[in-house]
Amino acid sequence: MEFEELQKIWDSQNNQYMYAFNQSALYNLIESKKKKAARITNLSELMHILVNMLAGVIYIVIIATMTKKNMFMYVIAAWMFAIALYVVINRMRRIKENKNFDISINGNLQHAISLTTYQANLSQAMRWNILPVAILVLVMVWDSGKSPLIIAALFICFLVAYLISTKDQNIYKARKRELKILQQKLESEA
Amino acid sequence: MTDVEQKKILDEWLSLHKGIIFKIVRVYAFNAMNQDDLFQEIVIQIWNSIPSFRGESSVTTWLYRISLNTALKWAKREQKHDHSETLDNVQHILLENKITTDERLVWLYEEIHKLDEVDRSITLLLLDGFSYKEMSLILGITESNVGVKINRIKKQLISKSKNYSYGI
Repeated sequence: MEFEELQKIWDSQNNQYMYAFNQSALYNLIESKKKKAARITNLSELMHILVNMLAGVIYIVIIATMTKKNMFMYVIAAWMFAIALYVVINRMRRIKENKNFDISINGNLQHAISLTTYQANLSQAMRWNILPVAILVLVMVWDSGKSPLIIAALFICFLVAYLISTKDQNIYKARKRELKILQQKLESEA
Repeated sequence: MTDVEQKKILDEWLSLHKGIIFKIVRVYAFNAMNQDDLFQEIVIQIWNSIPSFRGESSVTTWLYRISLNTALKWAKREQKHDHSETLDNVQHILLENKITTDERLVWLYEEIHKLDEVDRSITLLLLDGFSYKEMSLILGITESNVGVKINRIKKQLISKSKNYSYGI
């Protein structure tokens, strides 16, 4: 067959639709997805901001109520606020960058890649953040003369948190790799 | 834009151009459950896109752009995704019409299924009569790149059609 004939075969379906759809169920779905999307979009960032700020405030309250002040607690509190600020700045940058992509499929893919890169970087930063926090907390607990068992239990907790966060980051990396492959296919001259 | 205005536009677009979505759904999803899933995803993305539509391109071009983009990402995700939802949990929205379909059209869809995700998009646009320029704008690649891909796809489809025996 020549291509024109293939096109005629293709056009033959324009007179009758192969599917029908339930319109009211469709609108119910849009409504529920809309509400869900609005909730989910910012949840991860807001959680990081809130958790770190809250932890910072808790440390300050603890320091204020302690008779024997501990230098490491000041450092941890400052660190928590710095991380919250880091997430706020990155969030603002992400929202600003959202507007800089064209509306073509390639532009949309670039946007998706940029967003996934951002999520992977944020996830990595939060993973590395566990290390200084763990060191500071362990040194502080050791300095206050607590039992080695408590120090060991804390160490295991931090290790588990670190390993779990690795999985989260791998998901974003895999998604980014898939999007990149798709973009390469689209742009390749073959 | 209010929800009522948005819903009115979606109603109009679906009523006039639903055929575009149906074709894309059939090309990218291979069973009824997946077709339903992709249809829902495309319509949601179209709904979300309505406030950004400025009329700079035709509605058809816009719908193709949104729908193909959604289908490409959906197909990539679907390669790995194992549906955890049971059939009881899923609300089916898309229903197949019992119509007599040209056997050659079924064959053509099967051949398009065999192409990779990007080539499927280009084939759809090609068969629906888009120009190189329009395709280049929808896909975000150069016209010459579109041309190279189209030549290859055309040759491939024509060559396959030589081995296809209709009505035998």
